[in-house]
Amino acid sequence: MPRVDDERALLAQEGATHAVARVDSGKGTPWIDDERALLAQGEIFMLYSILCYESEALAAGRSRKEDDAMMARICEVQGKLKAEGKLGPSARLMPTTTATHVRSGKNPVVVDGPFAETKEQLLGFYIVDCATLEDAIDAAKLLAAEKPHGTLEIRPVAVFNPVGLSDHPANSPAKHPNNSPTNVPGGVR
Amino acid sequence: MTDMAWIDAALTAARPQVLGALLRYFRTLDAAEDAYQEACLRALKNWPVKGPPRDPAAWLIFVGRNFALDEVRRRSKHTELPEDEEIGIGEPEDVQEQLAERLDASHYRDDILRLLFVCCHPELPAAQQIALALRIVSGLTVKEVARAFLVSESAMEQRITRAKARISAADIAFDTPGAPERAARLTAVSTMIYLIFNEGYSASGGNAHVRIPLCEEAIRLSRLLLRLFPSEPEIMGLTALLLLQHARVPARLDAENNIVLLEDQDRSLWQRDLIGEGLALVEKALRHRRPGPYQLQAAIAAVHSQAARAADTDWTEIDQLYTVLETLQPSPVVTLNHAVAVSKLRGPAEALAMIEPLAGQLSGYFYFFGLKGALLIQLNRPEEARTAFNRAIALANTAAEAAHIRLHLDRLQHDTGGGTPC
Repeated sequence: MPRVDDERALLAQEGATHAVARVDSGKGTPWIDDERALLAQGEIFMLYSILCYESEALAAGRSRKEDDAMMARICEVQGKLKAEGKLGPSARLMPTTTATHVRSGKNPVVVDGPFAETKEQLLGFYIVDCATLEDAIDAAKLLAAEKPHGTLEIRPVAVFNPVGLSDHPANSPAKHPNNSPTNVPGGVR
Repeated sequence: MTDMAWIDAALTAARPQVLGALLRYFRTLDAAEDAYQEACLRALKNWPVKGPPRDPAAWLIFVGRNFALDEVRRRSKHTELPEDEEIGIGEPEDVQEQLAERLDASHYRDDILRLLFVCCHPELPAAQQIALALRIVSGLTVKEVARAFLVSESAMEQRITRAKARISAADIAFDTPGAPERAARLTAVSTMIYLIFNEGYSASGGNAHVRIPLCEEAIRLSRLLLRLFPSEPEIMGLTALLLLQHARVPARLDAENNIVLLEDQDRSLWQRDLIGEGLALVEKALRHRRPGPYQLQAAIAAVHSQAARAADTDWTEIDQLYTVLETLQPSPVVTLNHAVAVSKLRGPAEALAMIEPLAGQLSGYFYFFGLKGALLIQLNRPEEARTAFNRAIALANTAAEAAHIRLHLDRLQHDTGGGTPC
């Protein structure tokens, strides 16, 4: 295990030369900065992804009521993180049964199902903006406290393009009357 | 979530895998169920104290198997063994790990499939298959199953006992199935899951027109099957079909529990997350270019789910899909549904001509007379429509169905200014 301090150096070593740098725009939320600002040189902050792993069998065993209650609690935590300007995009993924995977190679092969038969699958993720790993762990702990089981993996983000899909209707609930009012993972009902 | 709620969820989730493995060890449902019960009791005692194990299913299989082996030993020796509370509980982590690995690698999938397959033994009538699957695989209590079927608890207890006796008298293959056998099992199990859903989607009796728990249970089983066979387009189709149909549940009945027809439903009530998952699965399934009845039915449901308003429905697409479905799975019920699309595209006369030859086969089918009446109204033939609707009322399965037809009759009465008695 590398020491925490070595992490950035490791990323650089691995060719992650695009490690996100952005101008800290004072107290404003970082997630509305435009691309130019993101690419400009400035104080380096680290983006962390918080990846949610959970057993799908267990997740599928939750009733809709239980699931809604859990999402409501997680939504509260998200509100808190958002207010601190830490929370970026987040997503809840559809079950792995909807997954398709493409194996790299000269003639890529398309295969159904999740990447591997593991006990826990990646069911969603958050992006948080934190000064240190310690802060990211704190954010993950807040989220973890509201989830009955599973694991959260914290992984620093190497390249981040927040505006790639900004025009997608899924990102503007106002245009979609059927979407839930809050654009949270799994909030789209 | 509290500890107990977590344990409850973990036990429910692990049930098919654990029971499937125990059935392979002990060969009878009763022995497997006893061992499972005992393992659950120990989990309830043990997990809150020592924390949940990393792999609940492996833990339960290990403990359940040890318990049952111990029972056998105890009986064969005719001597009391000392009560050992610690059986299988303090086992080293790697034993658990090894067992789980072995299960995942080889048997796990076939265990669950066998467990499901045992429930849909061809000698059992459909109602008994469903009851057994809900009791054994889903783990509903006899009381819950009885409630779903609107019979008394003791009647359901008897039904399940009889079904189990029939199964134990029959031969169940415990060897690892070959490919053709596995495919046959998969088909039988899919049908059974489809039947569970149908029972919930339009109940065969009673006041409740929709029984949501049965639909949800069917979806859960279908998702389980798809996780085991992630590359089977027909299982994708089945799962998608159930999700897309179930997505409409909040819109299918109004506040007074009256049926709301598809074209009159408030589409904003449709459950978008289920539709999204269903559409993703249909799309994935169709890539395989191995169409089957479930995929086609799901594709038809997908067309409906994509129409923002009833008027936007792509009936041409639906007509084509039904044409293919009729060749793959010829059935009067499929033709009846096809006729609805035809009436939208080419008018009621053609649709009526299409369903009239079905009169003999569908003489006891509620929906046949419902559609016939509706087409006759459109053709301005009120007398014949009334006859058809009266027949439909007599065949209605639920109060909601009867009420819906009565509405048509009332309207007819009104339109023809009192009308003549038929």
